[in-house]
Amino acid sequence: MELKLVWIIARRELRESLRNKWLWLFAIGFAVLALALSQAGLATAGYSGLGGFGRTAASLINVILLFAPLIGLSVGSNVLAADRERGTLLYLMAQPVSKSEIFWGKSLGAAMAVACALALGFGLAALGLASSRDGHADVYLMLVGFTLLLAFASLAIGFVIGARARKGATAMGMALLVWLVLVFGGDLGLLGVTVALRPSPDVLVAGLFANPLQVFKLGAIYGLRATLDTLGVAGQYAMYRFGAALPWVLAGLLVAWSVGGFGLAFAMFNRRGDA
Amino acid sequence: MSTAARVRLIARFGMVAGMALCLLLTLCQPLTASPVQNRLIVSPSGPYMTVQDALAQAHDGDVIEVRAGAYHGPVVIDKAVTLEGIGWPSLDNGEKGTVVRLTKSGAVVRGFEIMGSGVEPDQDHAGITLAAAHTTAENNRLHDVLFGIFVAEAPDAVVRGNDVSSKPEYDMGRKGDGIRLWYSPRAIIENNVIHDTRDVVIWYSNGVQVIGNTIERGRYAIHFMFCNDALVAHNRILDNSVGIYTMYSDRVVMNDNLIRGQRGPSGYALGFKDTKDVEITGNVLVDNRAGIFLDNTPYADGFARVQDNVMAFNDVGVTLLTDSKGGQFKGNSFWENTEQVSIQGGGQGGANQWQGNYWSDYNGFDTNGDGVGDLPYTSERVFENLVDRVPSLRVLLYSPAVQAIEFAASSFPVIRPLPKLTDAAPLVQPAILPDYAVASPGNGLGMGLAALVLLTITALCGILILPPASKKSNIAMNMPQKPLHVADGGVVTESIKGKPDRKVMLLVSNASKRYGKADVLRDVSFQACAGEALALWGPNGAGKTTLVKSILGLVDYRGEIIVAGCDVRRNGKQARRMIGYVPQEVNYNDWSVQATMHFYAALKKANPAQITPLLERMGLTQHARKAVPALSGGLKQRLALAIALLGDPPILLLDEPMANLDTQVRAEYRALLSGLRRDGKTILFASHRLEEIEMLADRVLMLEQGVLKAELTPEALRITAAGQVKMTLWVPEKQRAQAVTWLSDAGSPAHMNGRGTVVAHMPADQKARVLRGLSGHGIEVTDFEIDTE
Repeated sequence: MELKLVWIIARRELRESLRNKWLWLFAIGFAVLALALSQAGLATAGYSGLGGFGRTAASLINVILLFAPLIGLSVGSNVLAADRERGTLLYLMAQPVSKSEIFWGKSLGAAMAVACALALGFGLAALGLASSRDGHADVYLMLVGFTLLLAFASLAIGFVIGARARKGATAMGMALLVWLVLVFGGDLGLLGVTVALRPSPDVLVAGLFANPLQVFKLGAIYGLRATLDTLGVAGQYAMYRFGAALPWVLAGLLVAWSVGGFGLAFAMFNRRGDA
Repeated sequence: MSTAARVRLIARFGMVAGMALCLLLTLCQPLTASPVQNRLIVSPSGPYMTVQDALAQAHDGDVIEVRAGAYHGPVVIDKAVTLEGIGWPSLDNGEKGTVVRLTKSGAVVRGFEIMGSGVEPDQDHAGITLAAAHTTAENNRLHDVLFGIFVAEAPDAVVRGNDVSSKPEYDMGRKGDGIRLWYSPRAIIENNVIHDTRDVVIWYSNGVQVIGNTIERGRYAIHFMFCNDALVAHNRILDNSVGIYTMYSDRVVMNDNLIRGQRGPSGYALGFKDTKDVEITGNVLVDNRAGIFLDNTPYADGFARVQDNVMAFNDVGVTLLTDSKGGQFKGNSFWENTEQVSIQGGGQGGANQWQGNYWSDYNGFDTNGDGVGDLPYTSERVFENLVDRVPSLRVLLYSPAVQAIEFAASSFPVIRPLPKLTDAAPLVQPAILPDYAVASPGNGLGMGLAALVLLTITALCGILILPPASKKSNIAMNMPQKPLHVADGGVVTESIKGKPDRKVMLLVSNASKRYGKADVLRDVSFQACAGEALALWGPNGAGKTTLVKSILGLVDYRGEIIVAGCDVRRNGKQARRMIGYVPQEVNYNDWSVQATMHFYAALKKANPAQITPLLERMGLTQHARKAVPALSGGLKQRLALAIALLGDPPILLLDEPMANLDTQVRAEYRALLSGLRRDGKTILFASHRLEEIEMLADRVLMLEQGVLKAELTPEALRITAAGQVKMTLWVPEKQRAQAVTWLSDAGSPAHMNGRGTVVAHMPADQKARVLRGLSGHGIEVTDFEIDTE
């Protein structure tokens, strides 16, 4: 695999992904919400200083849980499927480049596009916070880091969808379905199981670790509070079980989701007998 | 009287008066100050070198002034003296016992830096121990001590203005208490700063006042037990595990405290167990796990008045155990607590009074502007209800699913739980925060830098997506006009149709491909030599495109395909480097023609200097700066050909490149390809059109249902593939019937259509014969059209 070719394709994919209207729709929505949240406290005389940054960041977690997977999944699913549908993937593969160079170039480009969109949203929100003399840069950047990991994990899942789908619309539909499952289905299932079976904290934590969104949430809250006590007994168990290594475990899980997702997508893309 | 006598008289009077005054003062002295206050000085240069020496010489009421320097403990103040440090002298006990111990009523220690206590918790090793009534420890700095200040059986003791921290190397449970106060009624603890210690413990002491202290980063900021008539006011309790926890105490007043960031496992800002007659007023409780926790409080017939407090941004504003009844909540502001009120174990809060509080999640209105909402506030969230019953569900906080549940509950009242509480007269404005609670503004610099970093990332991405630089190449580089050099490795040579020996550029041997159960290619074998042009002929579905894809290595296949010596299956990338590929239609991105060329040139590692002459040759120079989508179909295909020629590949693989072009453009394109053929390119192209094949091909590979049926010359193909045609003839009206008759008699079924023409059907190779025959019989044909059938 020639890295120079990967980079050439990545730059092209970055440009193509940034032309994806879904990406910008979600990115602008995220930026507006993040900016609004950063300013929302100011509307309530005095109280913003109390809840202040922690509250803003906590609200951001909610927004991120909706938007970051949506951005990752929609972009990821579109990259291969839409190119395949348009015939551009075939044309690219007819050039003297390998499948792996194409795949990883596209992955890198899409990841850069997602990072770019999220950096814009977070950057605007940070400007808002800075203008209101609020926030802790280290905590905020940790939140950004976990968000990027979540978006990359979602992107990887999107690539799995895109590696399988023949049409862009099909891929997008599947991506939205997966998003619904991750955002709502998984949590509602966990809620139902918890109410019905009252699982022990270790089982509950394992259930959380199975969902990259929950992994992100744990990491983001830990970044804010340096503890997960706010999440009750399961959070306390996670703290007890993993101690100071917890943020690394959480980040590692998200990285594993990304690596696993991209790996699976590549295997599917590479194994596919046609373009 | 002489002047001298008058002076003597005055002097004598003055002396007597002075003596009288002295006598009077001497007589009065015991009434104003007893005994005489001596000031003993301790300094490294004397007169006293140690505190202990000075204490040995001191008497009750003396002041021992200790100048700056390092002194050693232990110091036991067993006289009613004031030990006063000037310039922060230090007292270090070398990690043994208690550093300073006050055992005499009225003793005072102030102004010292105290450190190095022992570390035995069961012996209460402390920085300062007040062990007698009316003792005072004030304005000292204590650090590296196990316990800070231990007040043991010292009624009316005063602990004021001290800064206390514990042993930094110990974890929270091993540290000592910042202040430990036992059996010391009426003690006053005020204006101290206590940080990084374990607890402040106040037990078995009535009438204690805790005012104006700051307690940070401890376990229990204050733990009261069996302390009646306590007053806790104007303290700042920050970032401890628990704030102020009160047990088994009556008549407790807590007002105007700021309690923020209590985040331990329980994390109560104010907790009460079995306490009654409690006044909780004007406190600001922010960002704690729980603002107020009531467990069996008030008990018996007591009261718990919770009034004018602010509970903001806590996980839970107020937590009640089901046994807590009779609480009165009035005028409080419940601001954005994740859960405003929790009743652990489930149930309703109706056993307590909720009246006139502000609720940030109140959805009512105030039409008459009296500051009171016109609708009652009800707390009835589904998820809160669930968490109250199953606390482990708290792990789902901040999940969008929770919002979805609440939204569903608001839309479908049938799944809404019973209201947890009702406030009949909710306030519509929150309380104005007291000054002490308002956070000091930050400088925003860090976030500004973070914003800069993040927006720089965005800008960098913006730079990366700029199209490749449109380098104007002035290098005159003409396309080769002679046959190209071909890679030597593994290339076969063969003599074909009388032409001199040429290298085999493309060898396809028994290539087969299946899609599911369908054979798309079956044992196709052929070869193409350098400079040869081969046409793939066949109807749709014959397998032409699959064969092209196989040659490019884009699909799996059985058999063998060698491109310029490269096995496609093993080294597809290298094989594709030898091929310029033009599909039927290409969708490009929206870059300019030139930028697109630069992208593919980079991909094919072609010299960018080739771009300008290629664009010129393809007639695209004047379109170089146009966006590709703005080009016509013909120009796009020219661009595809230009891209295919980047890197000067010896083989061109064309998959019906002219299928979508109109006649004029097709002719121009054919001319381009003819030129390339003359340049010596090996060309394999798929086509339906005889004229293309006749103009370009040396040989024709006839594919049918994936099988190579025949290999023909273009002329032979014309004969084989000509088929039937429909000829439409324009004949004068009076001769039309004659024409139909003659044509039918001549074996070409004919009829007149409704538009005044004659239509005849015949084999394609009979067209000229038919026209000659009509002319020979005097039938005038003014025009005709031919369509393939």
